Amino acid sequence: MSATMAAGRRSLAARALGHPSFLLGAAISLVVAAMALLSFVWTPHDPTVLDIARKLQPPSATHWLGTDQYGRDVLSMIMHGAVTSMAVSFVAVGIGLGLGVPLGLLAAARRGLVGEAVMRANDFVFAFPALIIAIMLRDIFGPGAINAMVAIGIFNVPVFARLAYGAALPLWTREFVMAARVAGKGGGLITLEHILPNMLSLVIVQATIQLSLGVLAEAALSYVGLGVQPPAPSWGRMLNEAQTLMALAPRLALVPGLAIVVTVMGLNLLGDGLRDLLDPRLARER
Amino acid sequence: MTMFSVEGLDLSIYGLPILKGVSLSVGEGEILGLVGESGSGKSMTALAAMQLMPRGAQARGRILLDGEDLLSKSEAQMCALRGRDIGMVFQEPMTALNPLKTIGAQVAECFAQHLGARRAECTAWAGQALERVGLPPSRFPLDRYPHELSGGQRQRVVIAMAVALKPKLIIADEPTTALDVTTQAQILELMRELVAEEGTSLLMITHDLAVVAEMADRVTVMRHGEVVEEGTTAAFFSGMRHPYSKALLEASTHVPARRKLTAPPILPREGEVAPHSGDGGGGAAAVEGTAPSPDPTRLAPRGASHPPLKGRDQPYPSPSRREEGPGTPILVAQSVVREYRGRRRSLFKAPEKRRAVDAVSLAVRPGESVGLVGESGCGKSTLARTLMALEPPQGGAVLFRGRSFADFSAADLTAMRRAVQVVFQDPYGSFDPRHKAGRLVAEPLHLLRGEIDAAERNRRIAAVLRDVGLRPEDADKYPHEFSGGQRQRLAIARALITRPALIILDEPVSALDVSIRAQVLDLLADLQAEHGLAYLFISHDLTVVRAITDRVLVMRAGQIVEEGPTAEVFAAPRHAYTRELLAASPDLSRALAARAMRPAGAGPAAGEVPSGG
Repeated sequence: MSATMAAGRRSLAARALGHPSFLLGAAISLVVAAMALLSFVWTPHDPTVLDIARKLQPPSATHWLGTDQYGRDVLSMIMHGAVTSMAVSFVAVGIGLGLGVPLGLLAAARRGLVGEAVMRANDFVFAFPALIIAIMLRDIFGPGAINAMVAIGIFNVPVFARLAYGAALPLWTREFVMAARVAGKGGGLITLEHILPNMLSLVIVQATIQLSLGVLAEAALSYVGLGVQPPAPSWGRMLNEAQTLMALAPRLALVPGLAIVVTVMGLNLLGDGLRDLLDPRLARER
Repeated sequence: MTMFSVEGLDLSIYGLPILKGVSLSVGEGEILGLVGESGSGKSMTALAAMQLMPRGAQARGRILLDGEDLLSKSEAQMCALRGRDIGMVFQEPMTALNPLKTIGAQVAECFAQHLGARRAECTAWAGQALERVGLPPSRFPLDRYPHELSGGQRQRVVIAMAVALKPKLIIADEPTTALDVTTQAQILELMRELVAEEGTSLLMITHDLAVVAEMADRVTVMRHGEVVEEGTTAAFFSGMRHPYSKALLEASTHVPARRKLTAPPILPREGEVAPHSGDGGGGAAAVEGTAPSPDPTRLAPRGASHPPLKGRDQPYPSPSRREEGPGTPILVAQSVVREYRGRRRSLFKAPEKRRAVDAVSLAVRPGESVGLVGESGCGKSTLARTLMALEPPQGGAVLFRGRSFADFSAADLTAMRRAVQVVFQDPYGSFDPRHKAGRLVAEPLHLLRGEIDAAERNRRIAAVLRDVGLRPEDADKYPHEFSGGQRQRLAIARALITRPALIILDEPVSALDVSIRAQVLDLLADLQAEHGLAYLFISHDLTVVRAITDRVLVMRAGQIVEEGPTAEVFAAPRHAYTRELLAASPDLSRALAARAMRPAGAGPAAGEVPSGG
């Protein structure tokens, strides 16, 4: 028993290397992230410069993925769009994690009225899709990338709150938590020392999945004009702008579409892989 | 005639040898008790017979059922055989049944699977099968679901499935371990009857020698994947040859030597080295076999080797106070009531209340050992949580040194927690797997924060680890690196570190093998004498309670039905429930006496029962 568990511990890196979907997911995510980072210092062309003379060019040596109807370089836009996607989904997951996990942990630690109030408030927020929240925010603050981040972030809060609550409740009945209570530790300290570390892998996996959903949501919000505003490039708005040219230049819709699909798939594979690697029960069956 | 035999079975899993040349045989209509502790390979032998081995397992040797070699059969042939020729009864009735199907459907499935009969017929047969195991369809309709039955009733359903097709052999793997004693007695009785009526052979796997003495015709003892001894039950108990068998017997009937409080420090007792666990947790065996030796740094009752802690840390009663009399109680429960809210049946009706603890009163005095006995669900663990101020009582009061929990300030609660510590049942669940042993053991020192520095903290960790027979270096290990018995020692160390006056022990040895159990009981007895501890010892196991307590309370359905000095209650129980408990609990000496009384040939001996097949 102890021998096998020790072996399992030692070979976490080895198991990661032998997990194809984790490797593929990690590779895709890294490529997207690298592309986004690279765009800060270098893109083939300025993605915001319009050059009508060079509009709708097919892929060539100067424009690897061609140009759109305003003559902007598609590859540069994709690279900059990756920044938008990543930034929005990361901040949105950050909001979800930062508010949702503590709320869920609080509800599990306090139960009773406090827990009930927190979780019912969560249900209330959960009833509003990100799109509705974004529309409400636009009416108040006007459209923009911040708007999208906050909307998706608010949408993420109950997801993480429920996850944390659900994972923490059974931990609170475990004997090691009772032992900590007998040791005089309060709810906050027990949560920090025992509850949170024992559910961290679940949270990490969910965060990866929410990242991929964030990419999708950002694209959807930009598509309907609630996200990043022109001229800043965004995959969702590229799709929107390509819509009228579907017959003429399907490439303009396919490229951002593929970027979204590949990124979401990569993050999902990464999440699945992490779940397998971090969950000891699944690991043993492998 | 031999019905089932295993000959020279070697089994390895991914090259790691698990079974080494195991041979055993069960005659027609015979009951074989296969005895061993966890990790001895007894369950693996049964799984090999069913060809239900885990992945990576390779078996060599022969397993013969009625002359046919099971190891050479294909999976399809085994499927036809399982259930028809070999029935299996599992340990855990909670998980052996499918919760989504009715009991009738599950029993009927056996018939449908093997006889291909029509549904109506199968259902009728299922009714008969359930009737035979004491669940007549008139009282237990076939459309009941498993969750509507008690543990014992569920185990009856499992047995009905195992015997449904009148198999040649039934393998029962710890069939009563998960059940209460009174239920256990009924299930054992049922199995004995069925086997005698049908002439079925029974391979009964158990760790409990008392159960073997009651049930088996012959005994086979396994250890570390090998058979160490076998023989007829009478011969086995009258003249054991192998030291392990003897050690096992000694451990099952072990009564820890309990000394008076002011006894001198313990010396290692020669010749009392119990058999080691065999669950090999790296040096586990060596440590567990050794009695703690006197050591200058260990916790001394009077703080002899420690500087007094600001004069207020004097948790142990002074011997003089003890000699004066029983002393003021540490903890008193006054008609404590603990209610749970049941499910809300309707939005407008108040939810039902379930009384788990009903007006219980008790007191624990310094240095005293009080037992609390009862079957599962009687409310004893709920009571324990209330006594530890983990849950508030709905009625009555709990008093610590004369003051009610209800009036406690935060400082009072800290003082109470320092004096009252706890050891839980589950040696696996009571430690956070992510922390090291030293940190886990030191957790209650949180109560002394600001009073002790890091050096004192480390000194205390080392001292309590030595106190419980572990090494100070073990502080750097993770819980999973310890064996079950060692983990329970860690749990005791954690309870000791604040130098409490009372430790509440909630089933502290139920999850341990008998030999480890004996060692942990010895340790508890030693620690009590050395530190003048009081124990509230909660258990369902009467043998254990009898061995270690001065006074016992018997709890049933939330109420204390009997209370008195342990010896008196066991010798002359006044309440009917206590008598029932005592009669039902398997008792080795009683079973052996009954066996000796039995006229020759009256038992279901091999070959005497006509085969009913």
